[in-house]
Amino acid sequence: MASGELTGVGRRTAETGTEPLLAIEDLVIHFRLYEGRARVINGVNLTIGRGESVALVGETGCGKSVTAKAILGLLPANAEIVSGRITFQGRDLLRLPAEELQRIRGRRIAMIFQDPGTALNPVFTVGDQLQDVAAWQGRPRAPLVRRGDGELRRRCLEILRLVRIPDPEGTFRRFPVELSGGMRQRVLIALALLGGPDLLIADELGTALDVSIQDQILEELRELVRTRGLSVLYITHNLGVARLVSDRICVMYGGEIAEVAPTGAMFTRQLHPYAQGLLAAVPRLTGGVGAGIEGRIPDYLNPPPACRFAPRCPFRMDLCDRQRPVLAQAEPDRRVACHLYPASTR
Amino acid sequence: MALLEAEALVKHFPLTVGLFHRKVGDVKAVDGVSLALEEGRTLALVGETGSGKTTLGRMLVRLLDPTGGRIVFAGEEITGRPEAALRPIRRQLQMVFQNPASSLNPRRRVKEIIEEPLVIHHVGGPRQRLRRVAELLERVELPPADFLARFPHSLSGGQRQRVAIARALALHPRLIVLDEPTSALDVSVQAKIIALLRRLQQEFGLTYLFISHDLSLVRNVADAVAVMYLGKIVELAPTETLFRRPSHPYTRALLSAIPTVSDEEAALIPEKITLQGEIPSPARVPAGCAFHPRCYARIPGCERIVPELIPVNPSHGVRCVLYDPLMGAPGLPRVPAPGSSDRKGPPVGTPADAHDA
Repeated sequence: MASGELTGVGRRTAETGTEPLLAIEDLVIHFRLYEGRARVINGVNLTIGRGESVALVGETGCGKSVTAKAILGLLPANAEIVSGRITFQGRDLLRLPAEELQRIRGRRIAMIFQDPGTALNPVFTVGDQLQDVAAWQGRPRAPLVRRGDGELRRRCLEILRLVRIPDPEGTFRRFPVELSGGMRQRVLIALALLGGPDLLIADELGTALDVSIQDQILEELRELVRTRGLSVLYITHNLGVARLVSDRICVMYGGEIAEVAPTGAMFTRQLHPYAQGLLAAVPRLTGGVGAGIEGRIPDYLNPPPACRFAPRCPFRMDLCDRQRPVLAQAEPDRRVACHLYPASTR
Repeated sequence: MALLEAEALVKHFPLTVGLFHRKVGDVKAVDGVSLALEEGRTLALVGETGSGKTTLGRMLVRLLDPTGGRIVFAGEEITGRPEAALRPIRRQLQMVFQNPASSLNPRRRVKEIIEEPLVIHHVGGPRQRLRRVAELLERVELPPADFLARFPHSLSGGQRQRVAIARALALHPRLIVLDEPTSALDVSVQAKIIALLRRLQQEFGLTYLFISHDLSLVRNVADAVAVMYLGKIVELAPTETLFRRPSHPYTRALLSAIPTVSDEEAALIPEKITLQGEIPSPARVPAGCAFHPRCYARIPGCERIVPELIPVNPSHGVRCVLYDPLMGAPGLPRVPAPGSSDRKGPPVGTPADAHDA
């Protein structure tokens, strides 16, 4: 298992078939609610190769953020991991002791948070926050007193330069409120990069920003990811953004993966009826806003018995209410979970 | 004829400091906007955060008092009127807000929410009002029997926005300002709401001001587009023209950053232009052309001259000195939009064309 870790040079491992950097297998997560048990994540399978950027796309409530939080061990207290494994560099994150996970979180796997307005502490300067993270280094707690040796400072300034903050020295001394939304987002990216992670998780990156800034930041991050050979999991509801940044797309619906395909292929053609409906609903410059999809996302307290998309599906068959479709290879390099494709009916 | 016309509309918010709110300056949220809304049509207002589009929308429905300028609605000036005289006009001007989760009172039932404008304007008795509410719910495709007694928290985002639309329709308005009506919704729901808005527009001959930052969506819903930057309209054109020939340097950059989902679309947007920096605060608007510090086509003088909205043809205005006839109207350095040759329809005349000819 460690062999994949040592080679470290293989890009696009999904195609070459070597050990992926991260593999989620049959993940099932339930939430205990007052009303009962919400069966949210229902057997998610997902791999991310070394140097690969994967986008997990889906609409509000499809479970994409829950999946990301499960990777980082940041699920709320009422979440229960029923079964499954999340293997990262050969180790199962779900069964690691807390201290071990602490050493991985923020260092080997880092998260770029979504809301540049709230993810930074308003009462500390950007420099303080960067140095805290840089000084922490996976210890149980951050050191109370930082050494003013300039080494930390130098590293933080370098990271700020890396994310193209125009005036790193000045920004270092500023408070988050003094920065624009775009700059704050860059600082958040810098924070995530500080520990030198192998895997970045970007939750709705840039969707709170205006298109021109969003575009700029995504392009720069993509470049950074490419040159450093990082792996990224983008969580997004914006298909245009997913197309811009990812190598491979996983469409998620109702706590399950509906379809997985390389980005180009996914946008050319979709096999799963949900993926088709989703793509068709995106307004196009070429004209046309699709029809949208009837109905609403499943009630997780009482989800549909077999295929979770069946109640909204235009191609629903009897089988769809009886047997759950499995995510299976329907075409070379494309996997889908739908009974319209024989591979899914097992 | 234009249903609503705004002339040199200005809204400044005072910028104050300290205990006694000493005034230290103005936030020029809207700084001299003139536009006309044609009856039965949709004008889209696009621009980045802080460009003043929401402030402008709120002034047009008289939720905010303009600092200067005039608004003429259906031939009558509605600025500077006392509130009592404004009442009958208010019925005809409605607004749908961005976030239906916060624009609906969580303690009221759907019936009460939609009924409220009728109560305020003393329309009908309780029984007539109930009938009207049920009819409105049907218009927005929510079965009244299921929804009348519901509270907003039990509705999905799309259903909430439908309720907000029903409320806006209650008084038979002529103009509805839609302030990012779908930006809080998922695409599959957005598509449904857009279809509904279109249908309602046709049925009732509604005029829309559609505020949005989603250019792909605007391309599909608007008849004309006004692009705002720091409180001013920098380009105003029919939708087709704007997307085919973006003329202001800012418009072109904005279009070039649209995230697309197909190669056919990508072929329609201009070559990628990355702007320097970010939109400045409206409290510190740069001198001269407000866009000049970020402009890639700037020429000497841009930091001094405040450009006017120059009509490059009767329906297309651009606020940029590059289109000033006195300067010879050189236009933007030509970056032909890829795929522009195979497009249907007559070519749209721009000064650049005029000079080529």
